[in-house]
Amino acid sequence: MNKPFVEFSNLTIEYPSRDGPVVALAGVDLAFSAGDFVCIVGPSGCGKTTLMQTLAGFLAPTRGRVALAGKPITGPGPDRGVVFQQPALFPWMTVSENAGFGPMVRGLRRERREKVEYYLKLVGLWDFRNRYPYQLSGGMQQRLAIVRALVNDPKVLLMDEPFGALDALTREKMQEELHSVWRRTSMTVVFITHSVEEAVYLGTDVVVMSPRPGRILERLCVDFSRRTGERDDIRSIKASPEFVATREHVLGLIWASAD
Amino acid sequence: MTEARAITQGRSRLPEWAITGVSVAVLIVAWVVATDGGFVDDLFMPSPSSLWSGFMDLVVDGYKSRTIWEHAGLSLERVLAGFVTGAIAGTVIGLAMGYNRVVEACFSPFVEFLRPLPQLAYLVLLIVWFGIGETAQIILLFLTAFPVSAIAAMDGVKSVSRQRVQVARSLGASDWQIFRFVVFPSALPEIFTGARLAIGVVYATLIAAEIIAGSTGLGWVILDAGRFLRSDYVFVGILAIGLMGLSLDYMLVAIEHRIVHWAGRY
Amino acid sequence: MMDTPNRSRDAASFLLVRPRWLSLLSVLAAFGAWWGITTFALVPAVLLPSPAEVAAAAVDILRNGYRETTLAENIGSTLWRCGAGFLLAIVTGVPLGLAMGYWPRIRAATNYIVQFMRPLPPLSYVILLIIWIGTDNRSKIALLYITAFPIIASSAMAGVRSVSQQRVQAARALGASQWQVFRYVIWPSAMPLSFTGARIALAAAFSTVVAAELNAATDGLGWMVISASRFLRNDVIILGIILLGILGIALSALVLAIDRRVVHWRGIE
Ligand SMILES: Nc1ncnc2c1ncn2[C@@H]1O[C@H](COP(=O)(O)OP(=O)(O)OP(=O)(O)O)[C@@H](O)[C@H]1O
Ligand SMILES: [Mg+2]
Repeated sequence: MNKPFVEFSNLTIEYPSRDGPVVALAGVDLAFSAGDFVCIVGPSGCGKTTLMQTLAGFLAPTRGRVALAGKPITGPGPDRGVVFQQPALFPWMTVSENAGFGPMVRGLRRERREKVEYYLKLVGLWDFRNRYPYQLSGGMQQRLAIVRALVNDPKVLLMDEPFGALDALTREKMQEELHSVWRRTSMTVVFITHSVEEAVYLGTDVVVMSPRPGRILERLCVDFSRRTGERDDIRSIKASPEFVATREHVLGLIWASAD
Repeated sequence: MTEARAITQGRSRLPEWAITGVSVAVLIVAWVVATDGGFVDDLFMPSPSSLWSGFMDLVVDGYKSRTIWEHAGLSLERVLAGFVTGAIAGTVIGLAMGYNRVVEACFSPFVEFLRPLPQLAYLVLLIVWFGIGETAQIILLFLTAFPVSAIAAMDGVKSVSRQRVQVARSLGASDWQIFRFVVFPSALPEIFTGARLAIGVVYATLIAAEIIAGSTGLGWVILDAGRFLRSDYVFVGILAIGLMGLSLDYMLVAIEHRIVHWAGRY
Repeated sequence: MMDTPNRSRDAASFLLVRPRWLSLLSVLAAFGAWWGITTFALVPAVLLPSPAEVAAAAVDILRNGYRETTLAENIGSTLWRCGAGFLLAIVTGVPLGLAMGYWPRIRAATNYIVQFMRPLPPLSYVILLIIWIGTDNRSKIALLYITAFPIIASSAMAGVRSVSQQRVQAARALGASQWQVFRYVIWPSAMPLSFTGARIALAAAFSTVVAAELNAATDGLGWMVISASRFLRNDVIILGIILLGILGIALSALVLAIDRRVVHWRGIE
């Protein structure tokens, strides 16, 4: 591997609490290159969200360092888009105003119109551009939240269980959509999920974390996501013995760490 | 319908509006019988006919050289002057208090002191300082609206969703843009709730202000008519005050629905 | 700007001062300004007595009372009126509100009266109550009762109507009788809103009690302030305002504490 694009080195995060500090992350070392699709899995409370928040710049390391393209992270910025489990849309803005929020606050007017139109059409929300978020279904809202991050052309897209609240069918459709966007761009994606299947299917890398205090247990390189480029049927990939074996391996790691 | 009863019992003979209608009718009949039948003295409860003639008196001849409309207009002017200034000042300070703990720490003792303080207590002081008249009344109403609006705006800012702020920041919004596009709209529903509360308190205080520090307005008409035992005027005045209060509230609700159409829906 | 888990990025921490101390400082500054204005006679002494004069008035009233009434009597009768009206409103308003929420027909028959009373400023019928009942304590308590009653009844009603359908159904499915559903599901679900209503009602009653003491009272903090204004005793007025403010804060803190204890699940869902 050449020079890492995103790098966590010896990252430790402690939250203060009444009974002394809670160690959420204990010495995490992790690096990946531009264009990777990194999926992070691990038991609840292991520090996945915490890890993402440091990369997003919402949280400063207690010890250690987080760097993007060689530069330490000092705060949030438009080079890193975030998508949460809850869409966190701005309910007082229309769909297209929500989508264009990034370029709007950065004063990029022309870019805004084009990008918003492109992405809203891509995810099938263009006809709803003048509606308000509360007039959309849950799946549509989450699509809009992803579009809002994409319109800003981030180098890294950070997603914290973005499809956690969706039904199985919508979820698979959204996986496909996200995937095709990622293939078309050079974007790096950091994707947190509770679904091991989703992680193994989407990622170029699957990172498994230990229970609190969070550490990296194992990192696997997988290539199912590259294969879908050949328009393989998603169901048959997920049913292939190779896929099942990888999925069970990751699940086994998580189960073993929980004991 | 979130009717607790609906599940346990579905049958119903009379529709609910009919029950309300019957109840109103019974009340009116009782009123007519009690007053016109001579069971209750006109002083305690005017009969429908004397209420009507009292109303016509007030409309045509007015009360102490002003028509009822003029009195109502004066009351309305005071309410609006005190409410608008107090709500705007309270909202501005409240937003700052929600945003910054230093501002909150500096202002909250006074806001917290002022809020539960009976308005009449400081009306007395205002009268000593500014004399009986318009100034004392409007300052009183300002001081009434101020803490209610300030606390509502502060709570609104504090309840802003952390994730929304984080999203906006990561999309590149500046501090001012976050305030303008995220925090302020988030706080708007609470600001409106506060405004409705404030106009209610201001309205209640107005009556007190007019009784003590005025010689015009609906509140004063009621008190003065009461002194002369004109209970027909008193009743007309109470009805007028009630209707004006209801219309003010409806107006605010209509504005609220237009501006914060998303409230409670996300 | 970045949150660090160990350090709040609050401006207050940059000043190295805790917000609580800042509040104290700001109160002290206000007192300082008051003291400065009076010491350097920036406004006529008739208009604004100095802190020392108010303190002297406090000591004097504590020792000798105000116009044949002791301070304790005045505080006591104000609280008594307020409490009596408020408690009467609770005792009658809560059952009516619960019934209005539970039985649509009772709501249909009575709700419009409650909703008409609610926006009416209490003082608008103070004169009516005097005509009906007279000028003694009973008309004052009645006024506070009318102030608190519609607020309490409508919030108890809203509380019952806010009960989640699913919760009622879950209890029914578990075999609860109608009474048990009321006792274990509807009543506790209605509590948060009922308590909120009670807090608002008590605040409204407290505001109104001073006004109630305007007419033909011979004791009470409101009476003391009004009477002081007739004798141009500004020191007593300011003392009364401070006492009323403290009493108001104490009352709302008390109800809030009871609320926190009883409705301990508030805001968790
Ligand atoms: N603000 C906070 N204060 C104190 N402790 C916290 C805070 N936020 C998180 N923690 C603790 O840090 C640990 C990691 O939390 P984090 O939210 O990163 O977990 P997670 O892996 O995202 O869990 P989940 O999968 O359930 O979302 C948890 O054990 C949690 O108790
Ligand atoms: Mg998480």
